[in-house]
Amino acid sequence: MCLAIPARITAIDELTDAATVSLDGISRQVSLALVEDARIGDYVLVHVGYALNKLSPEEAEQTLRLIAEAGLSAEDVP
Amino acid sequence: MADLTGRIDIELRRLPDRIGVTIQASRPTAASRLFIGKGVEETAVSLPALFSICAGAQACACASACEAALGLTPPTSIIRLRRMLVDLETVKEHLWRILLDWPRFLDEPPLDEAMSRVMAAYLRLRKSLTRPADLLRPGAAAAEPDLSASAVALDELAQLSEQQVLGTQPSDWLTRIQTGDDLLDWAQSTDTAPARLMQRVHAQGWTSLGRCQVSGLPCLLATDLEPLLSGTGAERFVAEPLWRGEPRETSPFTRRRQRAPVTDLARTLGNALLPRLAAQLLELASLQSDLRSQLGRLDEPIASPAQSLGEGVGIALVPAARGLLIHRVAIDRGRITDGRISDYRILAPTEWNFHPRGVVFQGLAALPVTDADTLARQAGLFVTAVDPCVDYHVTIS
Repeated sequence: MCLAIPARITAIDELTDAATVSLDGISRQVSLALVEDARIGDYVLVHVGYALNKLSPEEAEQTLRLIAEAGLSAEDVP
Repeated sequence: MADLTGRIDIELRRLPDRIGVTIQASRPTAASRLFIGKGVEETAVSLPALFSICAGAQACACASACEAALGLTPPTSIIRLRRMLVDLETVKEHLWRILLDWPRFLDEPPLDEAMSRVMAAYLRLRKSLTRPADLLRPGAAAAEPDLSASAVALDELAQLSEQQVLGTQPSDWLTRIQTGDDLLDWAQSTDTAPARLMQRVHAQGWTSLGRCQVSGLPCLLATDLEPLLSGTGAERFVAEPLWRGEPRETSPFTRRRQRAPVTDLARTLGNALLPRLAAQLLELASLQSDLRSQLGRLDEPIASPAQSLGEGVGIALVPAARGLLIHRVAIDRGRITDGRISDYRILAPTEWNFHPRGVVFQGLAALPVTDADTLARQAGLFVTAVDPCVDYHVTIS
């Protein structure tokens, strides 16, 4: 099954069209090449290094709740 | 964060006479258990939000399995539109692989801008087809797609496929490419990254890489799967599936093996690298051509992807981008509005293909013993050609 994780944009580098996103305190760089008009504070769906699309805070919250309910959390990260 | 979505770790060991392989997957194969106890409608909304990479196929499988479990038969136009959304998603996923991953093996940057335009056309087409808005929910009653907007968006996708991949319209590519020689002629006369990759695979003598003896998953019936998905061994089965005790493959290659030019290529190369790459190009062209023809025949009969297995149990088999996606649901009451999920199992194609003894394992084990850099590139391209839906890492020792 193929999950993508909602994450909040905390910084944007316009030169490289990349963003720093955060989930449960874990930060990583993702490409913004596939989404339009992404801004700091937006939630995006992240998959293999790319932001796929923007989500409303409600959609992000619902998906994060499901991920936690499924027993998956940032604590699982080795 | 990649670990939250699951990851496949592949370790290759260069032994004197062969390649040793270990595959470890950390994919959340039991996550569907969280839907037990939830309502049917809530599940149909939540499930594709969670499994969002192939959300269309997941939503189609969920809605179809729930309807079968509840004894509901959707109208033909709903079944066909759902199938079109699944096929459209497959086109988008193949373009992702071809535009973003294949260039890496040419030492070229990913085609981000082209993929961005693909995503925009994909979203427009999905929106114009998803009418009513509850098309992918159990009990959807009537299909009302925006056919003219759908045709325009399909034209955009076909144009992008022509410019970035095929060098010609999808329907023309299908007519022209009948044999392995046709494919090589096309690769040598077309200036797109995928054509250059085909040339390089030929020039480097990589066409037969990864050839192994794993058979395709046969055409399964829901009744074949019911005992495997409902018994005490179901959790293990969905994590590491075997059919008749053997690992099997389900992929664009196994789906298209009987179609030109894959048939001709497979005759001499079996399930090796080149027929796999060709199958993905073939499917890209073929599905776009099919989508166009289906716009005009929404009400023509089409088989449902789901089957009822007695009261309250339904199984759906959906041809998702990377292979066959299987859902089994058990519901403890008889209506959409008050039914509760009592069991839910999902078996995704990656579990077959990346089984610890499966086609990727055996294909990698068949690679020649060579220097570490070459081995890493060959392994990476082979794994990309089989196409996992999660991040993967190859380490070589």
